[in-house]
Amino acid sequence: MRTANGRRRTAIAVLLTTACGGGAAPLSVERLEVRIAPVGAVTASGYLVVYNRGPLADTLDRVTTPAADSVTLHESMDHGDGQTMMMPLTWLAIPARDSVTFAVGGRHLMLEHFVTPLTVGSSVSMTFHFRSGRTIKQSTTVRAVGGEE
Amino acid sequence: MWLVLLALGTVACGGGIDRPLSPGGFIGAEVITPRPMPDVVLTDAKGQPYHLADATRGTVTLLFFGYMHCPDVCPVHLANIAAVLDKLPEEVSREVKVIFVTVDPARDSMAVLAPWVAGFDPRFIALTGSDSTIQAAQLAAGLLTAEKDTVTASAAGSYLVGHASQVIAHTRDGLGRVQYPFGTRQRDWAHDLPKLVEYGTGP
Repeated sequence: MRTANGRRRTAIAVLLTTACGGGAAPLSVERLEVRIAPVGAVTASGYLVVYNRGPLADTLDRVTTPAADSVTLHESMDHGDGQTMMMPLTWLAIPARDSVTFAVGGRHLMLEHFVTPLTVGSSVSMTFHFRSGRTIKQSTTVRAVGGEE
Repeated sequence: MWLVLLALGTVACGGGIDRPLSPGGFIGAEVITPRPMPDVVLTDAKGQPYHLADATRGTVTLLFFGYMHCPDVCPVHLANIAAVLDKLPEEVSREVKVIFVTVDPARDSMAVLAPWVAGFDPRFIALTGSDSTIQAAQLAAGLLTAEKDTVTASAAGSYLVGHASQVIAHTRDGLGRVQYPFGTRQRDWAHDLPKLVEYGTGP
């Protein structure tokens, strides 16, 4: 895995915090990041982990944000010959007692049609809509793309 | 400066390398039959003709085809290359040209493409052209040509573009010797870029 150790430690720390403080919330969205090109971006990408600690499966149906008119779920697929294609996902199953990761080069959220120009440092709130009716709201600060991952 | 040398030293000593090097000592994938820089005329940010093969003769050139609406793969490659060039000694970074050719010229007008590319590093070169020239350039580079995904295109005019995600590094002789797939890390670039600059200059 390309995940850095530091990142993993952070994730564990976050996990512990949530598990201790959150009470009985089976679903959570953690490590939300929104990344953007430094100048003139027309799209941004979102990465996160959806945890389902409950005994029932759920489905992520939709993600919305006041920052962009369109948020779509995508998966970058490498066809093995260097050709990368993005496949849109209309929904995403979140199995019981499992997690689903959105990470660079794999699943990601694509934000486009920005309501106001989105730049590094902007604050973005996103709402994750699950089929069970549960919604989770999370905010993050937009960061530049790239990094030692 | 010391920090930079120290960091470079660590990488060179093998601290960050966990995959075998190519016969030429690169982390990137060496091509068995390298192809020359595509002999095509594209258009630069000033609207001037840019003869790709002529303009890059004698320099190390990283050639990458992509598009601005690509949220995940294209900007990550460009950001990582820019970050590494920033940290490398000037003698190395000034020898490296980075060229981004849009495969989506209909949406990526130069008015928006040029600042987007320059935003990563003002030295990066943004190029556009006609669909047929861009296609010819990709074929000449040995890449599958980018394709507009018409199946998922939305009524609002959004669409995705499948495209080759590797960066092709051309050595000074104009041959595209080494390829860098998506997932190439900054430390991989930091290892290979000085080697690409050195390539062919030795005794």
